[in-house]
Amino acid sequence: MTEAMDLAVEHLAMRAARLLARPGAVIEAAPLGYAVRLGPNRRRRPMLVIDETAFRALVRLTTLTPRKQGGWSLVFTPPARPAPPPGKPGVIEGEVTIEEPGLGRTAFKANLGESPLAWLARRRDGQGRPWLTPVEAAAGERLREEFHRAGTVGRLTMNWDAGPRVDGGGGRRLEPAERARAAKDRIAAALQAAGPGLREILEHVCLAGTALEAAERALGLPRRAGKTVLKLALQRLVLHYRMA
Amino acid sequence: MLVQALEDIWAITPDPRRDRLTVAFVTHLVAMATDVSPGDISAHKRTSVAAARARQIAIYLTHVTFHWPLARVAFAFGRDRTTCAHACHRIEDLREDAGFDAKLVSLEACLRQAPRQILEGAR
Repeated sequence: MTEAMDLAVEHLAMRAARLLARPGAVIEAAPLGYAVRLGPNRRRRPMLVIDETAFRALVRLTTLTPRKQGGWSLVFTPPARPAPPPGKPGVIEGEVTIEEPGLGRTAFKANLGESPLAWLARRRDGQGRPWLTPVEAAAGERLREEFHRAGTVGRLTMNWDAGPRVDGGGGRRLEPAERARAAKDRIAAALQAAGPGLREILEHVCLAGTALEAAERALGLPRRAGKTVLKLALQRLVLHYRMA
Repeated sequence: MLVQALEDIWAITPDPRRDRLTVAFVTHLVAMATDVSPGDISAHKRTSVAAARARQIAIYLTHVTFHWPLARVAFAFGRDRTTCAHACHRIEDLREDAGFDAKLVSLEACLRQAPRQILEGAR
């Protein structure tokens, strides 16, 4: 019974709200309840008269603002748009496929902007020193960039940039295939310089981008030894690139 | 004298011909919804109870959805202003009934769906 009455009251309130949505419509106190008028003329018969409970429901459901001349009119409140999600700098959401022992090749959600090297460079040891010096991290990143360049084709279309049309004098431009070839050569030289015992971990961590733990398992290293081996390999790389 | 008459009309509505077309549109919509022939709705006589009720619905819909003043609605329907006011009050009172209310809500939605440029004119 009360539910039906509530429904009826709400129905009446929504009818009043629909009439009040019209520009110039106003609701004001009348001898019997509250009168909804579509215009300012008070001598005309009101369009709708609602009682106290319906008026309370109307106040609850909508926003009424008092007018100078008396009565109230409806305020339009545009529905609030949901705020955009906060930005995540340095995060590229993506998927990586990893060989899992029990499951086979499985896709996992991963942050593509994060490399194992960057993670290790941010870690600190017991004395508060970073695990990798900036030079070592830069050497590893350079090797990774070379590998990325070896895999990309580069620009194949015409360059329509509105820049100065002056030849920089850099000599002959490399063809895309030549670029990739040169990058592969540089990678081979760097891995050669790292030496037979250390190049495997560089291949795993810098080139393939595997996590340190997975690289340790694949290479048969003792657990947590990967960090030390990687540091040694990166020091060799620093010497090869003449960064130190 | 003609100028005077035209000015009287322009005081009521900016474009009487377009208003007639809009009214015809609403009339045909109500005719489809109520199974009354459009000719009966736009007739000058009362015709029948159902036609009178459909006429009131058409007048109410025009007044409420297009936000026209009553004088403009009355001029477009070719009826007295107080007749239109009475029709609007009758229909508003009938909306107490939930079923009738739902029907009118769907008709209003239908009219609001009609593109504004077409109904208001590309001014």
